[in-house]
Amino acid sequence: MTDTPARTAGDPSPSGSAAPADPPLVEISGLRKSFGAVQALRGVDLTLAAGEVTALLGDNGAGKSTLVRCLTGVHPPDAGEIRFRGEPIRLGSPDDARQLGIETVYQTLGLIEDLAVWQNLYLNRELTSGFGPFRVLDKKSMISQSKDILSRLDVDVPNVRATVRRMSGGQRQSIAIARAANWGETLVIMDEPTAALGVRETAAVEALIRRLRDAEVTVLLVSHDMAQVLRVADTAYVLRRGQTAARRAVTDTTGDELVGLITGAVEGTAHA
Amino acid sequence: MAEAQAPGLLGGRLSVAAAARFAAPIGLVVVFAVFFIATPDFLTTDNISDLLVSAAILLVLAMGQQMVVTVAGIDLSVGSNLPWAAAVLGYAYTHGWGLAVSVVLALLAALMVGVVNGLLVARLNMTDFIVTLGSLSVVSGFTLLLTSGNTVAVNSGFLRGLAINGIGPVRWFWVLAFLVAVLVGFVLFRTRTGTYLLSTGGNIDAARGAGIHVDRIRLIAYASSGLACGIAAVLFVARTGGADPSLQTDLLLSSIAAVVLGGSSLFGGKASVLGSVAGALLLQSLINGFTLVNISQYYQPVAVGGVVLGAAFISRFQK
Amino acid sequence: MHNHTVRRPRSAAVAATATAVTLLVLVAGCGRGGDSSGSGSKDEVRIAIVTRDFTNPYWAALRDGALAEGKKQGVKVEVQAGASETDSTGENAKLSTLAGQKYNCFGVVPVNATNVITPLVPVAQKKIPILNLDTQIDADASKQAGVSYASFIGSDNLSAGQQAGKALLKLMGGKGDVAILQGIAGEQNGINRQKGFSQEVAGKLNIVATQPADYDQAKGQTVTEGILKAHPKITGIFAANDTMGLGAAQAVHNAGLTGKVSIISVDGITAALEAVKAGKLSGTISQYPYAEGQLAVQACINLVKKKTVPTRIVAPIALIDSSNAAKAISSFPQPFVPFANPLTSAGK
Repeated sequence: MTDTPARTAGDPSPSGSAAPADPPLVEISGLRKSFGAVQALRGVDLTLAAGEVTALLGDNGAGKSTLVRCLTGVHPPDAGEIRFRGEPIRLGSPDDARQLGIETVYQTLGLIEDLAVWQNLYLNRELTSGFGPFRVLDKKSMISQSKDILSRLDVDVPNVRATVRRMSGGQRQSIAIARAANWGETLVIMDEPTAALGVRETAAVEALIRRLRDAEVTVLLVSHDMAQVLRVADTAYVLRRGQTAARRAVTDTTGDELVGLITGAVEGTAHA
Repeated sequence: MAEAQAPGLLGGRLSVAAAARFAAPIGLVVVFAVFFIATPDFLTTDNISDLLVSAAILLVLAMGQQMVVTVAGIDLSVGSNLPWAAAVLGYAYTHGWGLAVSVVLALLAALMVGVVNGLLVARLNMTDFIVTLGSLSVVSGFTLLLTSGNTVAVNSGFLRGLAINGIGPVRWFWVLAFLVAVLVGFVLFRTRTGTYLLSTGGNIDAARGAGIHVDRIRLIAYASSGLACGIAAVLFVARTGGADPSLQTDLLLSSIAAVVLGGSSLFGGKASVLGSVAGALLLQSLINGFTLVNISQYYQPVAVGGVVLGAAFISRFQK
Repeated sequence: MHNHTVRRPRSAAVAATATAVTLLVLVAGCGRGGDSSGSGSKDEVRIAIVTRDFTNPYWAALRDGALAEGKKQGVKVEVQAGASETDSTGENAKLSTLAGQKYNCFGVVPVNATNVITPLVPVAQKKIPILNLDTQIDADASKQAGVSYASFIGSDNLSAGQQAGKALLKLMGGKGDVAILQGIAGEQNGINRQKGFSQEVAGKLNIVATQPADYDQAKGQTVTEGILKAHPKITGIFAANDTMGLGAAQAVHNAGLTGKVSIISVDGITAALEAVKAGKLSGTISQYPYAEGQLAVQACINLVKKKTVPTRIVAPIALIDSSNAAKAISSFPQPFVPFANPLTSAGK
């Protein structure tokens, strides 16, 4: 569990076109979701290739958050299909998503401020001994392994016993990402990870995302930052009004084109 | 960069934050010193021994309250859950069911109240303040019904021995209270359940997002408080020789005060068993010292309130 | 056992606290100026009296009588109390604290039948004499705990109830509907007063309502208001104590029935005497807690000096109505009728 996350059997291709023998990690087709009268998703298609960083772009209300919640089991979709390594799956609850190795870093980070860094890293995954309701924590192991987890991703937190409250914004973000990356065996979803960070800290987080890709972790990155997408992602999807407006390989597009696709100034087709 | 922690009280800088964190133990030492100077009768083995016995009931209640406060809750039903459990004990005992059975029934009765509180708060998502305020009244009513308003005398040699005797100079009351405190400390800081309790109180959304069953955890917290009331009720009956059905508002407020004094945050997520123990002892020392110095009854609530306000003030420096 | 943030300050704090506690315990062992093995002469009389609370003027009078007698006799008297009529744990704690101090005689008014027994056990073990004041402590439970009382000092509450019954019969012309305000459920004196009253009026007056008002004035008023509405024909009320009686008088006054409904209560506190003089209360069976306090101190002095004391000392009671209210007020808190004091006559 603490080693590099398990990877798909086949060789992941970095360019976005799936290797012929292996299905992509996640294939979403025709996803629909409504909340009462509001149609949040009106038939979304999206493919996540294993080992790649895929960016999800779109204006407010385009459906990004809803799509993420469908993927994490918070809102089961009304219609459409999600395939995981070729197999159709049903994500009825966050536990289902976790079982499949999908971990998410929400904008709120999900850290407990008054607990130590190591406690947060092992939140709900504590190493224990004993049985029953009084499982005793194996603190020593968790502390030492926390150091490994963080150092593996080059995260700069000198004291894992300090509380998260004492960490800077960038450090907190890195801790949350490292946690998700450590336990997320298949997919790590990040929602606006650098939205609240300064320049230096943003650079540190982006370096961390690159390290994730080097470690062959599949990443879905929701971002408003065009430049960031161009820097770290391999593929970009643009959602507009609940549908997939476009898909671009990052190397084949520009920031202006992406902005145009988001606003609708540029007409996109589903696949370029 | 994580800022450097104050290196420690001994041989290092004494930061304000560190002093704030240990406000209760420091306050306890200060109160002891003040009363030591005020009267030669305070710091005698007899008096301190008596003080610790008097504090035992409050301490056990404070430990239950600690569990609930850790998950950002509060348990106001303590004021009637204790007499309820005592009444059940008295009823069973005076109907000839033997002491052991009576004690078990008392514990179960108190636990049941805690479980109901927990279900209403956690599963039905009702505000804890209102739920436990409601159960405070309802349980008080049941107690009065069960006892017809009378105090039931419980004439048990065993309980009397529990109240008076001990192992050498160490009284049974201290031992029991100490065991409860150790147990709560162990659960909170050495078990997984404790981490869940701290997480649920610290950031319930993050805890839920991490997959922790926060509803179950909150239920556990309230059930624990109920059980603590049951244990305290046994001590109560032993000490007063009977089950008094009156509402114990002083004990209720003091249990909350002790936890607050100890540095736990009422917003949850931060707990200190050492602090709550010191808080309970501090409150009891005030009462004891005032009795010895014969300060009017009516200054006591002023002093207790002052101490609580002082602790709240100091806790601002804990951030 | 604090939240694990940093190791070092926590263990430092634990060490500091442990050192402080050890120091305190060591100092406690030496004490400051001696331990419980007496300072002061052996013959010095040091009396501790504990009662329910001081908010009830009845107990305040008991305290005052005891303190006055102590001053008169030149002995140290300490009087403490709990916080309310129902504060069983508070009184228990106070008594427990005093029991660990250097007193050689105790007088105790219990909140309920058993709440004072446990703290008295160490007192009994040290063979220090204990007086049961005013309200009976459970004899069986005491015996089982090894606690016995040198004497019971109190007024005869049964007799008080009977006298109240007699007085009310006279005021009501021997017949009619009457209501009873009880005290705190289970409180022995109230039970005895009610019993005496009921015995006296049996067959003559019709008891239409019996309600507890917990020895509380406000409650007495509220309960009486309810009774007057439900039984508009009543012409008499018996209240087990004065504070309830005063509440009842207020309710009767508010209903415009003063003079039509006779009210008798028991205790004899100043407010009640004034009310009798003013005509709002028909009468009160005055007990003399002041005298009880004096008697307690006198008995203690005798006991410490190893003189015998009767096992039951009855404090005086008297009916106060409009005819003698003024006199009662002027001699308050002393009884204005002389009574036989078994201590000053017997103890030589």
